[in-house]
Amino acid sequence: MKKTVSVNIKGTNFLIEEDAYELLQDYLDRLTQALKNDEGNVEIIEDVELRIAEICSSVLSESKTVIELKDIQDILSALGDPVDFVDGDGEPAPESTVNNESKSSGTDKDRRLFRDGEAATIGGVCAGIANYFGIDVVIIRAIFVVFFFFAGFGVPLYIILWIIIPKASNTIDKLRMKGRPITVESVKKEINDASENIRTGSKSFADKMRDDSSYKNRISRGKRIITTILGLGFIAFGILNLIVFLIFIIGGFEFLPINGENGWMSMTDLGEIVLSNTSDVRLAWIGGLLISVSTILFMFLSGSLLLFRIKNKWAKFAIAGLIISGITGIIICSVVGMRTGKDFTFGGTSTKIIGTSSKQELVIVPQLSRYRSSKDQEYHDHDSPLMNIEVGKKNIKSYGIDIQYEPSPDTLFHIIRNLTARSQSPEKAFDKAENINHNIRLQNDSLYVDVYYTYPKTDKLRDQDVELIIQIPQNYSVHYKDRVIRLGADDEDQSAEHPYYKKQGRIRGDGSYSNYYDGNDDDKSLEREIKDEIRRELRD
Amino acid sequence: MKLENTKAQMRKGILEFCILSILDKGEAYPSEIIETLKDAKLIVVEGTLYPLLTRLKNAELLTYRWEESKSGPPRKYYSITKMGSTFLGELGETWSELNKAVNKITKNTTK
Repeated sequence: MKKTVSVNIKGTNFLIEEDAYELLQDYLDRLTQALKNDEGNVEIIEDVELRIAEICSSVLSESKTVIELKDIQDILSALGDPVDFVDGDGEPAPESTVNNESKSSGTDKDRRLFRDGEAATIGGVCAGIANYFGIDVVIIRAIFVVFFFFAGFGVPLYIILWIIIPKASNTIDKLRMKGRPITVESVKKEINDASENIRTGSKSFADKMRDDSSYKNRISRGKRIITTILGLGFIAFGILNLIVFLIFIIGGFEFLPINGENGWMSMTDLGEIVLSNTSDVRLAWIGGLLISVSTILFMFLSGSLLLFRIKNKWAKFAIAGLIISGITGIIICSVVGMRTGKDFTFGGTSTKIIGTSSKQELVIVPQLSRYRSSKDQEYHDHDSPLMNIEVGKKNIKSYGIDIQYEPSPDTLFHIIRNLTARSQSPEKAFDKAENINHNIRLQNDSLYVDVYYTYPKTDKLRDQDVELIIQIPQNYSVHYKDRVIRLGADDEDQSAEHPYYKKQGRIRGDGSYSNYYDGNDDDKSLEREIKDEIRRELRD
Repeated sequence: MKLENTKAQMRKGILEFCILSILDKGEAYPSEIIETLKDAKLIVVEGTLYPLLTRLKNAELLTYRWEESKSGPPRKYYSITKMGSTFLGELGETWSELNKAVNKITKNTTK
């Protein structure tokens, strides 16, 4: 059973099956479209309709009262496709020459670069380029975003391209832009697509700027710009995060300037010597991964949603999920952080009196490490704690010791050594302090001091420190290499911030000496030398 | 260069000449013209005819009149005008010249 409709073709009524009618209607539409530029189009269509009516009436008989789909198919194939009419027409109009040309020459040769006003966000440059190369516009946009944020020339490049690339203003241009053949059918399809685009309201931003002035439109345009900028920013931030993440995961696993077993250290190695136990290390990794992966995905997802104005229920769920997993990661990391922080609550000090000396001078003789690696020498010259450690298989070796100078209560040098560490309880802190292995020996007027100390890796990095306290009798002095340290008013390094009779110093891992409070006294001695020289010259 | 295109171009050139020749023998409505042209294998699809008829009519080489039909819709009977006859005469001359020329050339080249 089929539905029939009644049609009037050039004054004759026919009963025609619905699908046959639709086919016929479509044919006539296409014919009208094909003959759009032909001056005699009305008459041509009239002639064609007459012919159809004539054949229709000839197929009908007493027994056959309805025009079927097959009848129409036969008629239309005898008439031929409207495209062929126009082609065979030989009209010297420019349109038809274009048609013939592009039909004979390939389509890809004719492909040209235009800006795509319909798919545009700003000026349609990206969409145009994407059309030209036949790839997805998202890829081109992403490249521009990268240019914009990293190389900085994305914006001027875009503006230049905006100016020099012509906009695809008519249908033929649009087809050329997409590298499609220019035929009546493709032109018609393009026109239909375009009208659909206009209906769904996806007009380019630039067009809106030009055309619309109503308040509502200005709001939506402003919104559009903001969402685009936000989207670009999100995606750029996502890319940045991804790069950092990849560096962490693939590129520089061992990138921390700490002397580990195999050169530099990785985050895991550092975690192992900072965090209290292996489960914390694992948790920290999980937390870190959750945070970085969710951040990256969140940035990319929300960025593209904003940029391409996609509204999707599932995308919203995904974003919510990413936020939750990111927060979970933060919580895990905070828990690990708090647990580790707790292990720094109490300090413990193990004090040992090394000895006394009755000599007028005390000479400090630094004992350098025999195994010290030389390749990262420069790092050891910094005073930062992480730069001064070397992590071995079982022990952590730390370089540099602090010295505190105090006035002696009598006429003897007193040498005291404090070993300090931190932990979650005073007892544990004291145990850790006791675990520090540091050699010091007093022989006559010489104090042999190791400039390094070691402690077990299982103790973790818990602020382990070695401090010498040297009590100096009045007018006596301590010698370190060429340097003379003495307490008293005559000392020219005396500063107002420090107690009259107290002084501090530090022997670095490489045996060099620094005044604790001004760090760089080499400059000062140089200054002094220059001053002396000037004075001498003036005298002469 | 496609063979089909060239063929179409050649046919198209002489199609107007043929239509005028057919109508020179007496008036006819499109279906009749189509029959004749199809028999002569000059057209592949019927649709080609209609734009040509309209163009020739607009150039005042043809004219038409309506006639009621018992079996279907009214018919549009085309006939040639005076101007059309003159035009046809000139085309005929050109055709015979062309015919000779083409024959001569093809004969020479095939030898």
